[in-house]
Amino acid sequence: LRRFLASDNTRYLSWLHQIGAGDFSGVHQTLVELARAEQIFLAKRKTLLSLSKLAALASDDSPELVEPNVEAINEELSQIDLQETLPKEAIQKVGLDPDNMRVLSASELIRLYAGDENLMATEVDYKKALDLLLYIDQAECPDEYEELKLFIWCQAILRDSDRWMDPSEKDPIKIRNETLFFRTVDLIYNEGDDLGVVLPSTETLLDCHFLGDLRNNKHFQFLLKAGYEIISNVLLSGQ
Amino acid sequence: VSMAINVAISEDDRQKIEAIDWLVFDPSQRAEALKQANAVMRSFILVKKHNAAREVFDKLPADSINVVYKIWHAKTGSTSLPPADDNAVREYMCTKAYLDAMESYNDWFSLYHHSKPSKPSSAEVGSSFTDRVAFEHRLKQYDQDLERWQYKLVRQTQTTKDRVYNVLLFMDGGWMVDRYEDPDDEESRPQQLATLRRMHIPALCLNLHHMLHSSRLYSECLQLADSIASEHYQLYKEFNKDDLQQLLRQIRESSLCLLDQNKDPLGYDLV
Repeated sequence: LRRFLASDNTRYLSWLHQIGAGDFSGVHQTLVELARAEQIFLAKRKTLLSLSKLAALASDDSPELVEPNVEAINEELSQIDLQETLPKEAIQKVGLDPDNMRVLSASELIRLYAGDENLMATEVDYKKALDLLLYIDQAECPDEYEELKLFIWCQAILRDSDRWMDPSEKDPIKIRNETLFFRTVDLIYNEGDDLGVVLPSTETLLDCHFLGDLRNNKHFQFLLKAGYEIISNVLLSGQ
Repeated sequence: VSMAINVAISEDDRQKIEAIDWLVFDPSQRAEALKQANAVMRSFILVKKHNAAREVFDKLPADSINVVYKIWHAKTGSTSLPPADDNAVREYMCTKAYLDAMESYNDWFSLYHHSKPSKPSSAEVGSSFTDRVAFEHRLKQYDQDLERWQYKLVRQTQTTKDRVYNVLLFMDGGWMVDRYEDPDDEESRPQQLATLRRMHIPALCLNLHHMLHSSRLYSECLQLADSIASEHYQLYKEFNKDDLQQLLRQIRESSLCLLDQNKDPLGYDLV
């Protein structure tokens, strides 16, 4: 019976048999594999992961074995959480039903949080987009990782492009306090993340094609660099 | 799974309940009354004397939380309570949520298990015309009663589900979890709160599963796992291994029912 249940199209039943047999370690393993294969329904993936987590905790495996497995599931559940808390309008804009979503990849989620689809994006959304970088394999695809990171920061700048280019905006401190870009910087700093790792240098930003014509705008360049200077002073005085 | 037993109220308990009357007399003492009442209710709920806890609850005037805030504001000008009072207000609301959930579940339980109309038996029908007419009349009456019962049951199930989730997903950190640490707290209180969580959260989850399963809401039985496994609410931490195994066995029963309906084990259509 066990061999029959391990075959492909009956795999989704085998965990029921394993519960009956009291093999909770097996239940955990089967369910986590089913969850990772599930791409159609986000909610289904969530329930498979949740059940798998409970099974791991119900098993007789040693804590040294259970903890990393539960930790891995928690990371996947956090990603699901980040998809569930996407603003409804952004989801609908790309033709998905917020109550019945497929599983979106981390890079899709980043584009939705930081992209134009998210009309009312705040610094919290940009922080979430940056948090999602965690799910992009930096070693495997370093180019994609860097590109997404720049995409997020450039989008944050572009949200306020009128202000950046407005010649009457002469006060760097005001810009530093009121633009989405710098509010995101503040939020990251306040939550204890390492700005040195997350925040690209001004040179990198001004070199980035995402910014289009804005990067050649002298007024923008001045305000951005002045803002960076204020931040680095704060960071130095904080140390 | 069974109805919550209401343990009888003893003479001693009666005295504890009556004592609350003296505490609520003076509004300026309301924060203290709240703390005393909480302590008495806590001790009752720990031994499943839900009736006794409800009697204490009913002795506190409904505006008590307002009174506590008002008096504090008049005294200090601040709208945020000191930790001890904030914890007391929160515990009071947790107790209310719990008593509401338990009572609602008991109502569902007796409605589902003890109030279903029974079908008139046709064995008694004699050959006479009047007998047959009487039987048909009773049958018609039964159909109406059954429909009314089912309607009531659906509504009761919904109410109970909301109230139990209200406890399980209690806002801002969970049921019987303080928001602030109170350095002057009596030593036993945090321990009692932890015991209440450990005792009642797994039981509430199993009761909820029993109700959803009996109501054939099998997909919802599976989704119960989402809330229990959530890191946000951390309900799973109140379960020991046996509790978790029992829960998974119960959820398995719901899955098997879904398979009978030609769905997949989580209630999705088969592709």
